[in-house]
Amino acid sequence: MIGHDVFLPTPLPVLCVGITVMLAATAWRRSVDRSFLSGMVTLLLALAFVGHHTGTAPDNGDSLFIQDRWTNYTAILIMLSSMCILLMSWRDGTHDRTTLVDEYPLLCMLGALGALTMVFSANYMPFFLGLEILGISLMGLVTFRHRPVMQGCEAAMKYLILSGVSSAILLFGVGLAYGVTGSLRFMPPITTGDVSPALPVAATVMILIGMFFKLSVVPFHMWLLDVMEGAPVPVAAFLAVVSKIAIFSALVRYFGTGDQPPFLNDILYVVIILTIIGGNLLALRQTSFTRLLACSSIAHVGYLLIAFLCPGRLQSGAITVYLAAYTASTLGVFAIVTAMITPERPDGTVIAQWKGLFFSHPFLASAMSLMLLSLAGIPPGIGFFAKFEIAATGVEHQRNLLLGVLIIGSIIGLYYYLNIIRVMMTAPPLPSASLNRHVRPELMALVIVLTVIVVIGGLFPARAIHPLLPVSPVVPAMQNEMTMH
Amino acid sequence: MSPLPALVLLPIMGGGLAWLTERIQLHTATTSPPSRNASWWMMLATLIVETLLLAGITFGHPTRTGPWLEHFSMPWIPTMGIAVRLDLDGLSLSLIWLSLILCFLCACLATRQVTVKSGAFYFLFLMTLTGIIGTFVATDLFLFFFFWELMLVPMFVLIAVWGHEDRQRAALKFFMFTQGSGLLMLLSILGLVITHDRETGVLTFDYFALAQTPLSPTLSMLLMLGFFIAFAVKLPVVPVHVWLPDAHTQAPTAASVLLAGILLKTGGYGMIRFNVMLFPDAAIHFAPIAMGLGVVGVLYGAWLSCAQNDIKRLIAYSSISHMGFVVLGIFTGSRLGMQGAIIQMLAHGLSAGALFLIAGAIQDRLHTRDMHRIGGLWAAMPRLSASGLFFAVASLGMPGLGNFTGEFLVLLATWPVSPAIATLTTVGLVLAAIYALRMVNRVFLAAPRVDPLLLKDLPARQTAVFACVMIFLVVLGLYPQPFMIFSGPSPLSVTATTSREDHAP
Amino acid sequence: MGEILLPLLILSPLAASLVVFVSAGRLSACAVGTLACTGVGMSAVISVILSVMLLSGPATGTLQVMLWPWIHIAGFSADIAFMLDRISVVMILVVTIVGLLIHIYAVSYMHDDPGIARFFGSMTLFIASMLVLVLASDLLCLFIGWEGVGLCSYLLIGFWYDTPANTAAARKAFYMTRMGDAALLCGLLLLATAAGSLHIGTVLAAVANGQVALSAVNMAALFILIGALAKSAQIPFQTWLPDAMAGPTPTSALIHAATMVTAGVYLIARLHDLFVMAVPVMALMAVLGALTLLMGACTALVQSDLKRILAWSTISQLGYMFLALGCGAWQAALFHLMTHAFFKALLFLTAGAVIVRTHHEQDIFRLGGLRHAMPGLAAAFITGASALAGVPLVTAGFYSKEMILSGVWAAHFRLTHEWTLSGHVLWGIGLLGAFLSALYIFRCVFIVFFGKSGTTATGRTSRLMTIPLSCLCVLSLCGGIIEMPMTFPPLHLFSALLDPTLPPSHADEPGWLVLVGAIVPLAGLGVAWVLWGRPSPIMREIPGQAAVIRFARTGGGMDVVYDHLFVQPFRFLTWLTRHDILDHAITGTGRLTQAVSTSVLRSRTGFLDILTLGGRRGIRSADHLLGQIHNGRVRWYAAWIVGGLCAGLAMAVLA
Repeated sequence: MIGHDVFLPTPLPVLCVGITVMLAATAWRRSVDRSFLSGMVTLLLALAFVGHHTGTAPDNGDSLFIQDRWTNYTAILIMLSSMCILLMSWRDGTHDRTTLVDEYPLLCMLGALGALTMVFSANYMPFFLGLEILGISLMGLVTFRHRPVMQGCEAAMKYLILSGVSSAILLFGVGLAYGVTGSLRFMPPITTGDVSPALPVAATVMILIGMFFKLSVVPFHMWLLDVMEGAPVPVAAFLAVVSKIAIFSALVRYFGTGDQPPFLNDILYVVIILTIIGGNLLALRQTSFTRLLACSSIAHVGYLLIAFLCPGRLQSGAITVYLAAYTASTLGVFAIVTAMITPERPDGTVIAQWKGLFFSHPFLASAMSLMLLSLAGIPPGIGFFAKFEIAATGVEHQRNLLLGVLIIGSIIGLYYYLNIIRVMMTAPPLPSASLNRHVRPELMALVIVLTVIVVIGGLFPARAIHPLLPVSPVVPAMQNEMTMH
Repeated sequence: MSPLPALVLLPIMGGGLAWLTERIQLHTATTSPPSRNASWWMMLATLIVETLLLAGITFGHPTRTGPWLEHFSMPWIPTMGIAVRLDLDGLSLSLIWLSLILCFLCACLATRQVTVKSGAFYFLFLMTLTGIIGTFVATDLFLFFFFWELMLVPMFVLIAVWGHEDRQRAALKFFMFTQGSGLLMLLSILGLVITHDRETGVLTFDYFALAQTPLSPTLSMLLMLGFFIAFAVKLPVVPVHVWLPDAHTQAPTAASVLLAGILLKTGGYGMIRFNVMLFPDAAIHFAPIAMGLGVVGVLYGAWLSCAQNDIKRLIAYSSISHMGFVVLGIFTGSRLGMQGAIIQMLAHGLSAGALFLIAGAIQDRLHTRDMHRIGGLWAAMPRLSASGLFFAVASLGMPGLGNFTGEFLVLLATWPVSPAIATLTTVGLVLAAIYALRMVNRVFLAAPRVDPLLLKDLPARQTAVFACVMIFLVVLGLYPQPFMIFSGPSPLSVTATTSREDHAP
Repeated sequence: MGEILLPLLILSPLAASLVVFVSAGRLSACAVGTLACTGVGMSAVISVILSVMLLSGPATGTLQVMLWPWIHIAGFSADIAFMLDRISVVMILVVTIVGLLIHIYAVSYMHDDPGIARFFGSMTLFIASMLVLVLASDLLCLFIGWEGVGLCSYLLIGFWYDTPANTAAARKAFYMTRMGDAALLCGLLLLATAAGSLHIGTVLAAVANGQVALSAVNMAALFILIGALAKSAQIPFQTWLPDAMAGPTPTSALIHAATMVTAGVYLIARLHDLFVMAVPVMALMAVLGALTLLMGACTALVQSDLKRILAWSTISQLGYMFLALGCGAWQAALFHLMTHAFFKALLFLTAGAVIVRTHHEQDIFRLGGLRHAMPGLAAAFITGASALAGVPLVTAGFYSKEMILSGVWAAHFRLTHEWTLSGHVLWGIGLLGAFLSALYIFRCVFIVFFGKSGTTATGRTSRLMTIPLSCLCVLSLCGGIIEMPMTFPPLHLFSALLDPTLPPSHADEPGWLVLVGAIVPLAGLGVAWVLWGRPSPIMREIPGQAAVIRFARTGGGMDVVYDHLFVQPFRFLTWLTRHDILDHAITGTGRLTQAVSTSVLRSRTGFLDILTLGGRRGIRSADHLLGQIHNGRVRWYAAWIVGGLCAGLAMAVLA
């Protein structure tokens, strides 16, 4: 059962305190800038406290939270991404100028808090709590789209209903698991005694499905396109990056990195193939940028799951590098998309309107191409090395079918990424008067930083591959091997 | 300190400088009239420094002590056993020389016409060069793959931005084909590395270490196929050649030259260095199919070339035909054939590159590539036409010029393996005469169709540049012996090549 | 000294050619001509010096010059190397001296052509290539010259490129010879593989000492024969030569009569040791030669274009040479090569002069009675015609043809044990050919120079043109007396010259052979006079309507056959496949992928729409917002999740 000595990783209380302060401040006097600022400071503080914790972890592992290198890594990723997203939305051109949006950073912080809770959780309770905090705050965030208001609301409602369904399934699974093992420890239920073996399997599958929904793998992906399109661009980035990292981190935590049970293998196999092919095929014909990125994020989760499915000594490096590459590149793309949006032209997300970007904004266009190439897995971006690592894990385990799918998916992916670059290279029909020449400086800085990260990471990826993954709770034998690294 | 990293990095840095120069010039242009081509001079300076460096490497080794001229090694990603390993042997050296010569040609003849964003053009151009040189010297498989992919991106942009009417589709096609096949090679590389890891417990991407990997015949064949497909797409071998005509046709002149002159050669280089040398036994087993593909390439390329009316497309298909000889030569399994393939690559690089330059010059003046509309140019542009005639004749395999040397050696190596294949291939020579002379009689030696007064002949300086290429070709055709000694691939697996030489006469 | 002179011999026209090409447009026509003549003249002088040097040496002496190795690697070697022996002496003398005369003639002939630099550049380059060909001691080096002359021929046939027919003729010539070249290349590959070298001496030694299998020898000989046939315009490659007359007349004289087309003859003579071993190939060669000579003569008889008559006559005369080669009469073939070079060059040059003065009128029936207007040219033409016909004793053609006929008489081929081909039959054909030769060439003479005058001739033949003509006249008349028939006084200079290099082929010949050989041309001349020469000729004009004549005029319809058999299908097929089929296939795959993508998208919305129709009834009452959302989509999504859950559970449980 839950230990009474509360072991708590420090970032969580820091965030909580920060959010409380922000709430209080909002109640006192409303100010958008201050709200953003305090959000940033809170995140910075929390970032500083990564790796610290209060209390001591009980030896039997029966604690609410856990802290190891994997949690720290994903926590850092989440917090950095949240900061990027805050920065992106600070002076978001789509915001209604007439109303104050100081609850926006608050919701963002709440989302980050939920994500962090999921990352740090070692028990079903905090995990579910984190999931719901994230989900509810996201719903709020999604509606922030000012124009057209209906689209935002529709997206939010969809998200609410569907995530409710999936949460219910997940909760049911948790209940079953508790029924089987009598424990809320965050790990797959293991049959003890005379309980039918179907029960723990059913519990695992239901929990898995819940997570798959949040990860939006095919066939649970339908909501993502509509929701991301309906949401403001930074929120779409939040959906694509923060929530996915958090869920994936929890997935890794839950199933560990050892050899999965065979039924899980089968399910993952099918899901990965569907995800990669489906995600890429869906993206092929998209005309909206956010929809396309939604599809591509689906496909990327598919690639990640390949690495997840292939335990071994390359796995840790592959997953960490891929997460970093995906985060940096996707955030970069979203930052540039945000930069292109102006109050006059709120729909900067239509790909066809990007014609001639190379001529009007050479730097942004080059950075965008770099990010897209990185997503497609082409040097010199970090995505190249990431995809290389994924392929290496696949080859190591001789998952030939998956590798084939990976290649087909990559080729299709290449097509739509290149297509965007192609559009940007097309000479504009008219002199580019419609595009704003001045990009917000903080966005420019963000883009530059992310570009540097992507390039440096691509050229010198050696630093990023340290063994970070948690040990498998199912197969403790792996522990020794992992600690050796 | 080995000069190899400098050799690789110099072009991209120079390119960056060229770009910066242009940007700075644009900013200062308001105050002072721009001295038009500062960035062009920057590029030229880069090329000259690069050439000097290469000359230093070439002539710094009067007596070759070992098979490899230069070596450089530096850890890169130690946990994966990846390092920056660069090695230079005669094959790499001669192909790099070819690249530089062609780059000079482009610099002198084809890049001055670029007026839109010329700085970026030079940057991308030199970046491609970096990728190509890197490909030629990398002996770490990861690094090789890195460069292999790296050279695609700038080329894609070059085609997509500065190309002709249907450029973007062509660029996409080019990228997709080469990238997609590259992924197969990636899998093969990983398969080899991981097999090596399993067998020896050492995770490394070192070419020389991996060459010693014991492989089962099936696995070795599979891995070799992965490499082969990637190189076959690049070379190109016939069923997967379809990107080439479009890309060559739509690319701007300088990019066409780079594509035909050097990019294709990376495929041939890879086949020699990786297919045949890493998997000698699998290569022998695969040889009949590969040679069949080579012949099909020779005939198919020449055949389609006969039917083209677009002058650049015609040259592009003729490239396919010529590259068929390269495949044929490499897979004859004899040193003679490989030498022939190398000479063929060098000669084709020069002749096809020059032909593309000429086609580009024609397009600059007449704004068409349709041979029906160009008409005879000899009366108006004798110098350009004479050069065109020379290179067309070279590409039809006139003895005494470099292409013939390559083709002859390849055929000579093929004959003992299969006289039928060799005889069939000579049909390609007849077809070559048909397409080359068809072009000559449509474009150069025909009744003029355009007012001669509108056309300006090549300036004398550019003609002189062409003359240098002609001299190269003649030397390659009449005195190939030094090149043969010079450009042989260093025997990584001395045993493999010598043991197979027994098959040859 | 020979080591320097031999390369210089080739270098001098080559240098002249380079200078002319490079300075194109900057030098005056006169300077260009002088330069070219100097280049060729120098090599003529050098070749005379070299011949004297060689002939004054020992009988088997040769002059070998190895310039540089072409390629030396294990198992194969080839060099850029030259060798002067007695066969090549004959050739270089013919090439340089006839070449020089034609160059001098051309200076005047081409003086007002704007492309004169291109013309002389190609001509001197041709001389250089031809010298490479005849001097090469390595087959690879020979092949360089072999293709080089083909290229120059192409350039010169299509010299007046404004007319598409000319360039088409040029291409045709190149393509047809190129086919032969491909075969020759195969032969070279075969020999190189078998002998490990392409040095002629090594190859022949390897063949002689049985290092090469007999089948390989036969194969190689066949390949080389095909190459030679194509170059020398023999059946079945004869069709390119008449069209090649599109080039300027000096070109026709030099390339398509005197030198290049005889390269095939030279090559076979050079490799005679190889051919001796390949009896069937020899027989084939003799038969093809005989057929060609007959066919060429018949076709020449019905032509009406002056240059075409000469072209077909060339084919026919080359047929004689092949016949001689096939019968092993090597000396006779080379002798005829030499005399033919003299008189055919003379004929062409004279014809050219006639054509120039009659405003480019080439149809013999529109000419006529020209002997009054241009007596000098008439005399020259008649001299050449006599030599071609082989008018006995006074002309060179008589002696060489006689030598061939006597060689052929003695030959016989043992193809199999039962099957032998006697030389007598071939001799008969040769004799018939001789008769026809006299007939057609004097037909031409009588129609063009006698009878009523057709056109008016203007101008004068310039001095520069007459000098070469007179030289060639002398050579055509007296060039033959260096070799007499066996029954005549013992003057056998030519045989004596060649005997050390070529196996002697003198057999006892009956004396009446010479007599018959002397009578037949005279008979031909007489018949021609009866038919066309008398004041009221029996036949003024050949009735062109007769189908057989029309058939013969096109050269036996081979052109048409080839056109329908090869050219048209090739054109059609290339037209059919002008778009890359594979390209379409792969583009189609791309399209398919996009279509799949679209259908995936559609299935997503399409199913929704269907469901929406059903679902809408139930949710009418919902408020506006919910109505918007509850168009069924969310339910559908939820259904997906539940479906996925069920599938997952089923998989897990059933697994």
